[in-house]
Amino acid sequence: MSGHRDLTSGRPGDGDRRRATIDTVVHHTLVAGVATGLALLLVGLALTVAGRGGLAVASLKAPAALRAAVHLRAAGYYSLGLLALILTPFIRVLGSIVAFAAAREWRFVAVTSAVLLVMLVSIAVGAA
Amino acid sequence: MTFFVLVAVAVIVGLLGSMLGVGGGILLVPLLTLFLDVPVKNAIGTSLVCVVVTSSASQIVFVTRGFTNSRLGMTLEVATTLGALAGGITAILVSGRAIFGIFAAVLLYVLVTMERKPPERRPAEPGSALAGSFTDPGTGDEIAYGVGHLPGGLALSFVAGNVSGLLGVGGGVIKVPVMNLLMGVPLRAAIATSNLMIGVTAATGALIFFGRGLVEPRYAVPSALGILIGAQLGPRLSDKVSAALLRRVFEVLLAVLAVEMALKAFGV
Repeated sequence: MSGHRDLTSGRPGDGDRRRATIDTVVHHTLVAGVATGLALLLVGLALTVAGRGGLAVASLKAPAALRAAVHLRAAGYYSLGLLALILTPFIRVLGSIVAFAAAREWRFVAVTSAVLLVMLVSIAVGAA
Repeated sequence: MTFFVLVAVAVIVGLLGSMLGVGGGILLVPLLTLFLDVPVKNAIGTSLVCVVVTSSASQIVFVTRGFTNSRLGMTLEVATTLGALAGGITAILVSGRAIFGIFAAVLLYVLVTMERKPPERRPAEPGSALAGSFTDPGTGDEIAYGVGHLPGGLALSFVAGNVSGLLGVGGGVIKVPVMNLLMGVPLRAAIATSNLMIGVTAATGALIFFGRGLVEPRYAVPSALGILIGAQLGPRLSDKVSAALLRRVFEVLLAVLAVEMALKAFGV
């Protein structure tokens, strides 16, 4: 009955505690990712209002976006913000691997690693 | 001016989507292409970002309630991400008219599934490694369930991921019935787990579109901000609006958009 509450005693079992740990990791990852992405987009909008570049630009690759952000160009913050939002599930998958490993659930470490691998391939396809 | 129009459209999409429990992509892509002249592949890239944002934001709430079955979600994600990868590559290669045609067919599918309300299936017996449990907030009862028909679930999850990567939608309209009706996962757990999967699937497609320069800030930034505002307001307003009326408006909108998208596919 791993993964369930101890139904005879009503007390949380090991499975419940492990699941709570995994859920906590996922929760914090999602909050951090969405907050970071939104903050970067709002900084970009503030820079546009301040005349530091408009919205009508193509998204920049990460290195160019970082350079633009260092020079306080709005385009850099827009691209980094969008990238942070898109990568939030990616980081979330990474967090799940760590959480499953901490819970010694090796089968799900392998399964989640396969998901991560497919996401890495999609990054490579996009960059090709 | 376009910025505020896009924000307004995305707020409405976020409102409708969150009040009706559907992803925004199914409305956003047609609205962007048909009424705001956004090229269809840029609209898909924009929509995928919005789907990721709404999924992440709602998972923040869902995951703390304990409904999400992370083990099941990650297992099915192997198939959905592979589907999204194939769909994203296909979307880059095929013509815009083909995408309009496929989109019209998916809109009709959603319309039909909304009309047809199948009974919720009895939960599968607990026992497998993918089994889960949650506390029913209404009764306080512990609901323990198993998961059946994994091969079929994986195959259909691939299809859901493919549709997501190809058309920029979440694919929840496929994932939820697959988990609930085929695999025997209780509806509440199926919806929360589907929501988890939608974000990962959409991100897989979005990474391809972003790398190919098809996620343009001028469309994606106002849409992402708008849909997030709408998705936050939706649950607060849902008690004040007639659910039946809302559903009817949504169905009419879907039908109109399906016809418009089909006409675009035929070059009309």
